[in-house]
Amino acid sequence: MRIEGGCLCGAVRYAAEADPSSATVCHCRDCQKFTGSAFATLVAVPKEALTLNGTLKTFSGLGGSGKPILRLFCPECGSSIAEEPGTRPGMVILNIGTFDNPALAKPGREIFRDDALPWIEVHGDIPRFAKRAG
Amino acid sequence: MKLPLTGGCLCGALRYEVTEPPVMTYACHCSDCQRITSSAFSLAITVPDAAFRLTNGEPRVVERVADSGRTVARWLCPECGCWIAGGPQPGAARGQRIRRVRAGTLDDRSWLRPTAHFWTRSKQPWVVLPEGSQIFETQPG
Repeated sequence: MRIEGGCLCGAVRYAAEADPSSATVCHCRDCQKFTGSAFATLVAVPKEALTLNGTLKTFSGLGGSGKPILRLFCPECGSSIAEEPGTRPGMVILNIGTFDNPALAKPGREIFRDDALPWIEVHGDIPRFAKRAG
Repeated sequence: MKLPLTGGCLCGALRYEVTEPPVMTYACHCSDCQRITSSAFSLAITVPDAAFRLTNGEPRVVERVADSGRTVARWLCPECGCWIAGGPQPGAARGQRIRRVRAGTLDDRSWLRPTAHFWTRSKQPWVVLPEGSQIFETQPG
């Protein structure tokens, strides 16, 4: 499915060929901070399936795996656009809130449920992991 | 909840403290909040502006006209992009100003529970609202 999206101010736009039917809801502390919210909702796409227009700024941190994770955001409005995890070379993880139609995405699993705010409930009969999946 | 509340951005360049208990904790499901958080909703505490203090760093301040027609200022970390807070609410008399702080950036979130949900007409269908929440289809009056 073709997905189009972009940041809040419009300086960054993207298009990707992706399957948003099984998104990952991640409750880890870094995702809470990067979003400023309760969790991130993520759809992975191969790098070659993504076309980006605009310039992103990058912050490099360490993921839960201990490997580096690049976090990409719009330098103008701060919208969190994507991640490039060291654990999955060649993949870009898009954050569904920046899709033009976020409702295309359906959660397929929850990870880092140990860090979840206790009142958060994600609808559906989906696998839920205390830490990383599998 | 233990005062002062402390928090900061992902990279640590911005740090803040809040010396009074929040007036309110809410989630906002508007489309702007979905974009900028890149998540399903934003999560905020509102605090008296006088009780909020930056303890480290200089934010980048970004202004934008929201769906409500109001101009909102956002304080972002120029290094890691995290949105940590809004500017002080314009229009209100000094001393009555409130400030919205992005709750996901708090160090201790164990006590955090929104009592109200705004702009639920654009809520993602898979987010289940806790029973007893105050629900507003758009912005409360």
